[in-house]
Amino acid sequence: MLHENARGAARVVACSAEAARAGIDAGMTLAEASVLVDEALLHVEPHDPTADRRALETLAAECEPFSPTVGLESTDRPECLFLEATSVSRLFGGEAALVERIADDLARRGLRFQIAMADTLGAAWACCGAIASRNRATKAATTIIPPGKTAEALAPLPVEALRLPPSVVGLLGALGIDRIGPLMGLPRDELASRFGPELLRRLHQTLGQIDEPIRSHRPEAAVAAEHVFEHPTAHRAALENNLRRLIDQVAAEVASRRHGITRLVCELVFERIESASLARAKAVGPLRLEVGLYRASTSAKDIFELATMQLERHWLTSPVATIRVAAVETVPLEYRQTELFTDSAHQDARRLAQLIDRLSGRLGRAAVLGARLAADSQPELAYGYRPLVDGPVKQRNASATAAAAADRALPPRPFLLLPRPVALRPTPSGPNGLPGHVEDRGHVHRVVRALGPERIETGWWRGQSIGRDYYRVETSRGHWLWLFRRLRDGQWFLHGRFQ
Amino acid sequence: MEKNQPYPLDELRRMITRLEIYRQSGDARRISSGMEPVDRLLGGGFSPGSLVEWFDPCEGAAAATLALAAARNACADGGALVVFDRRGEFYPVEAVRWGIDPRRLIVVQATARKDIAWAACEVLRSPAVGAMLAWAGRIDGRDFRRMQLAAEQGGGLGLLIRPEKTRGDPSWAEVRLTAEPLSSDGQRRRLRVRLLRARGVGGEHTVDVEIDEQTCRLYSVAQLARPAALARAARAS
Repeated sequence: MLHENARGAARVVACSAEAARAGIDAGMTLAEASVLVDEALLHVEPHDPTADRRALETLAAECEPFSPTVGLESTDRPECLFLEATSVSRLFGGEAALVERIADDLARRGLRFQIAMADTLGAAWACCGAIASRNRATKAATTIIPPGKTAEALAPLPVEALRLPPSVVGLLGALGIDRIGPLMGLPRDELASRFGPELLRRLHQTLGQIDEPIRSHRPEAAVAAEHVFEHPTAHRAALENNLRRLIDQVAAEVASRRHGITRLVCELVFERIESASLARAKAVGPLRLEVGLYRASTSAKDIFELATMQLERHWLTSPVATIRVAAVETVPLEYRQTELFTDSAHQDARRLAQLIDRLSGRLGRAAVLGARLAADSQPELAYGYRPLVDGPVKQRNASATAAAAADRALPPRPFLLLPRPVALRPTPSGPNGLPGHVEDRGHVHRVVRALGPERIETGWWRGQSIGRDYYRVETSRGHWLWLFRRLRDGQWFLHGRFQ
Repeated sequence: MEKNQPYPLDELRRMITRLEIYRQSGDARRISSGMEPVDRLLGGGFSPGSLVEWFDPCEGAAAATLALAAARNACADGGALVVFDRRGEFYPVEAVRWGIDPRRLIVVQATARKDIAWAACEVLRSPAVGAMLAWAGRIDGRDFRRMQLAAEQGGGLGLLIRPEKTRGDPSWAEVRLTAEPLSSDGQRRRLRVRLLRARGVGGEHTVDVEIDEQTCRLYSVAQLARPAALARAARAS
């Protein structure tokens, strides 16, 4: 039995199968545990988390024959190994055969284990946890969730299986939500505001709506290359030739690790120029070019183009002494990506990724955006933008997006929404108590007709209750504007233009 | 010059018209403008790989809605829509309601004119782009020409919404239209669309259009003579 001091007492961290059969469980105080078994049989050792981690790393290395990428759970005290199986299961004769081979190997080592095969890391973790909690004395157990059946398989499991912080589990429990099934049925956009972003992130990871790559247990040094000029130069062609060569080297090295580059940094270090007249060094900081990629890539040609596009925008004031190139962010390439892009859909996806990279490279990452829609009735909160170079914007799910697109029941909205509603100056009343005139961009419009109101009352759970009556207003010049009256004080605002 | 010999400029004009008609008939795929009478005049719709200008005589008419209706058709086979939104006012929620796939919507919020001109060419040159929608003021002649060549190369549709004051500027757009607001019937926005110029189409043509914001469709006023049948057809589709 292993123990450590926690919450003011010596507590059990782990125990043998025999001790578990006697009723000992993790979290129990040492005093409670000792009364359950004969003291003569009890062997107690202090828990050493570092030794546990080392043992798990050793096991990860020994599991490498079964998978090209083996990683440890990303926690302070990992208990789980993750193996990438997509690309290798067919080499072992299928998923079931692969699981059987791993189970045999672990059993030969005399280990107790649970193995789960699933579409996502989160789902596999949840299933392992469920097996362990069902039967603590089980020596070995395996389960395979068929592809596409993750949601059904997870529905009956407790919410703890989502790898949530205890505070969130407690809050869910207080509201009577103790299974994943009912949790999945709740509106996603409200989950984040009520329970914090971690719940939504874990749920999306588990259901495969956010990627969660396996981080290899072997720490890999960042791939980098450097060229030191014998004679510092500001000659563009010389700089570009060397930059191309370094990017080639880095891209080839990253590709050999079956990874793709998502962020690459080029540094041009300038020569230190001694100023003769002042007799002191004039220091010029290095020029840093950062290339972000929408899709992980190992195409040196594309990355070089993006880097030179940025270089062209800089005026080099001093000769360059050193060029350094480093792939600072890489991710394992998807199995499909290692095959050639064959069909036209993949061709288009690749071309679109190239376009996004080029636009982001020149205009900056914050200028090239993807929209993510949210089911929020407050118009300015019903969408958000995200730089596309950080990766594709995941919508709630594809079918929901298609349904939203087809949802003509949503009342019409303007194409142009002002970033902030503009308060209107009081004017004599027009039709149906609306303002008689509206001032917009220096023009005064006379209101002739209005459609509405559409009442929006929301946001109480955010601590800021919103109450508005929206009207579509036609002006004497044929313009259509979107106005609202704030229910709290009757103040009118202009919020959008139907263009 | 003999008296009965045709004037050379007239002959040249006829030859160009014949050439353009031939060119139109050779290109099978057309992109519907969303307005049936305009499509008929254009021989089926806009040509892929071309620029279309919408003039907004009084800023705030429905040019953007009409342009978006065309963009929706241009992106129907999976192409992306790229919107240049310098003011940060574009509201993607409404675009999605009109049938734009948010996963294939890119919003570019650049402000420098030079950057926008460069980015517009890049966007139009990409075969992955179905349509580009941009609010554009004055466009440098060389930039305009580059955009037209880029659109030809990429095969998408470049939709430019421009202020009325730029109507007299030289243009490389294949089709030029205006959208003037008309007094509505109290429910739907009504517009007069004027086809100012299009290859192979002589003279100016005018079509009155209503925007049905519930079904996200455009109807010519003549079509609305049979509203019950149309409403039924819309429900069926």
